[in-house]
Amino acid sequence: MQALLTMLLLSVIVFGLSRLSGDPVNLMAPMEASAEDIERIRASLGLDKPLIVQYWYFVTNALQGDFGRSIKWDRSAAEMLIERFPATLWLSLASMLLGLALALPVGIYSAVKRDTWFDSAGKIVALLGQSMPTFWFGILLILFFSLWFGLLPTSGYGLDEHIILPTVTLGLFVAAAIMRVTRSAMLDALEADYVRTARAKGVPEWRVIMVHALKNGAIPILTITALQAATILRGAVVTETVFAWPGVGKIAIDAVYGRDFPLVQASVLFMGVIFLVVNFVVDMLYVLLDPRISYIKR
Amino acid sequence: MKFEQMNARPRAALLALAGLGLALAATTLPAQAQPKGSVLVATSVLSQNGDPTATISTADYMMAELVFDGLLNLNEKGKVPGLAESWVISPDGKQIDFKLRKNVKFHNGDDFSAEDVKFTFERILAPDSTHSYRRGFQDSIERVDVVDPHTARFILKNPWPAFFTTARYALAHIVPKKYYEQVGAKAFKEKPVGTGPFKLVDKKAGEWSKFEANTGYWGRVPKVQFVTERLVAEPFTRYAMIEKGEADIASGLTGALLEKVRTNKDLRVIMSPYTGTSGILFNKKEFPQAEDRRVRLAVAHAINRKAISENILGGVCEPATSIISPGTFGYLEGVPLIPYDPAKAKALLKEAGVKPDTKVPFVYHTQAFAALPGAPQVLEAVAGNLEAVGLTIERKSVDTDAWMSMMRGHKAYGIFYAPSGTPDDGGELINTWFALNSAWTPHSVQRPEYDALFKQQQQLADPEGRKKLLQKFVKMEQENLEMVPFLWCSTPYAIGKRVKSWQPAMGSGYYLSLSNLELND
Repeated sequence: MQALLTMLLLSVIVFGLSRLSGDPVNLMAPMEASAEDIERIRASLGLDKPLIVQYWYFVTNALQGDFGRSIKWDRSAAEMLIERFPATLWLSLASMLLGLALALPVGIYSAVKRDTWFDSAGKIVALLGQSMPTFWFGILLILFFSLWFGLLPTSGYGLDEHIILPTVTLGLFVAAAIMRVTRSAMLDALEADYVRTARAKGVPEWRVIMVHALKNGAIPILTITALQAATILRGAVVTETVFAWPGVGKIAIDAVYGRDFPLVQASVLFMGVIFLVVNFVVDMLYVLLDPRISYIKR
Repeated sequence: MKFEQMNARPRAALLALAGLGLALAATTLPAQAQPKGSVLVATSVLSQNGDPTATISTADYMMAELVFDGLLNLNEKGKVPGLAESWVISPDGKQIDFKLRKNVKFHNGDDFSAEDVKFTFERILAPDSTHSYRRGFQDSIERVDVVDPHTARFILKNPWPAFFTTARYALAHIVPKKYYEQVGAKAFKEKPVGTGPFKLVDKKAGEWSKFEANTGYWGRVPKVQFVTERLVAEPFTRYAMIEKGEADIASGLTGALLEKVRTNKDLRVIMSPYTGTSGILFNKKEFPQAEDRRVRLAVAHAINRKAISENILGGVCEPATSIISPGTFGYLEGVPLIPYDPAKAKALLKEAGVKPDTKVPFVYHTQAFAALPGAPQVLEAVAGNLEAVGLTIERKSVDTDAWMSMMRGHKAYGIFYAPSGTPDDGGELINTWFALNSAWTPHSVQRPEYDALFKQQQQLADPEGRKKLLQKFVKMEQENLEMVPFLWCSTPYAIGKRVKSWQPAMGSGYYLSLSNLELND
């Protein structure tokens, strides 16, 4: 129910914002097109109707799975997104895996080795990762790995190696945030009474860290990871553009610049659904991790 | 026990996890150049509209140029006879007989005939036509008759000399009547069939289009086998693709990236000449002082066009002497450039009584587009130049959409940039910027003599006489200076080392003329 309300609200916002942002016909028609020609194109797209009518069409059609046709590409917006989703999913998963693979060990080790050179280095890396704009980092990666060392293709999709640079771009970005949260969650956990108890009863240190402390520190880590899923979708918009990666993010940004309303609406709602699903899965995982959390009313 | 004292197994697992990321990043594989005979164009703009009778913008020529032919075609030499071998214009200018090329076949094997010409123009003129330039055709064409299979007769409402000099008319691409009617407009758009030098093989919306050479082409058969146009939005990525040899042609590079191409011995910059022209115009309602010619002349002296074209645009543009460029029908040679002279500009403003703190709204375009390369840097430089002579410039930021609606609503701010992306005919430029009710300006140019000249040249069937009239306009405008001439621009392409020779078409930023491209391999 809540999710449905969220989606409805999102649909209003997206619809309203995209209409506020301008007029696709201005961009489509050539400079020399006459005023009547422009009106004619507008009418052919249904953009001459009152906003509330347009919104009604949009919602009723969307409920039937019809998100309209992309103005620019003259294809079903839903079809275009479904076609592109695998590319985004693949990139997001790879980035998240890379992010976790970097963030968890470094974050945990930083907590264990608090205030050492390793911890400081981790801090610097995290700061860099968080503050470097993804498009700039992506361009640097192309410059180093494609042009200077000639190891990897600059951009594109289809071959295995195409995914490496965009994954590193997005992966390092999410790693930075997860790394910092992991460190502080682990610091808290390592100072807790049950850790002292565990150590006192002779549990091996690796078990203390990886089982006793990590399991208790897992909730904030999971929360930030879920938040980073949203960051990945956001970052994908830029990263996919830089690497010409044919995903949902790239088509969304093209659509925004082209005032391609149906495609903007469809892609934002699509991302909204993904985000809601991720949140739902995380909520469920909370239950598994912490028995005190329950969604069943007693 | 601390981390160092951990058991080997979990510690190894931790390290392996961290190593995974590095391993991912370190995988080395060589990037692929295009296979033999194939060309990859990394493009900043991609149009995939396969129906030339429903042309939305000139960008649609990207696909149409490859797949179709017009009665006239555009190549590196300019407009040349295409499907029409020759034509005869009646003495009153109201009838044109086009002699059509024989033995021309569409990609599906159907013969090309005058019926297809008639069908194409009727589609453009149809009441439900979505062709953006429909109005221009409607104003002039009464009907098209089929005299015999190889002769099409245009019955005109009035003489239409601009047909032959204006790309959007002359190059109207011919579609096959039979196939089009058989599959319908929607399917045709997806799987277009033409007579052109390339066939559309496949496309992915918003990503790429792939074409194959038409080996049975009646004209110059392409020397390459396949052409792929891939949309790559980020300029640096397009540059990187060229440098690495992944792409053979990259469009839409300016400034520092174009300079990097120039200084790289393996790469070259090739220009499609005179694809844009521009001037600076005034909205006299917002900036009434511009009624005074001295103020307009001051603006002309204040702008350092040479520095802008060389330093910001990397030589893609050159200082203009008039809105009618050397690539435009009606160009007049020998018009002097108004020199950069800020001291004189200051003196002129003082003379005209413009106070130093006068606020002037100025259109500041935040996006670059075909007819405005290098914006917003170019406009920032102009604003700076104007500030240097004492005007207080209020920058009004607009993106392309807002800019278009501002221009179309006749609401341009005090000083604004007036560009044209298809400057092929002087008459059309006068219509756009100088006629009394021009579509684009805030009607600040109120000169009946310009309007009279525009109407006179519109009816004049004799090309030489028409050219003289347009040149007369250039001279008049040189005196009046309603518009400050700004820049003439070309469209640059970066090309990689696989390309042996290539010359894009003249006067259109979207006509690549790829049939003359030759590869080294």
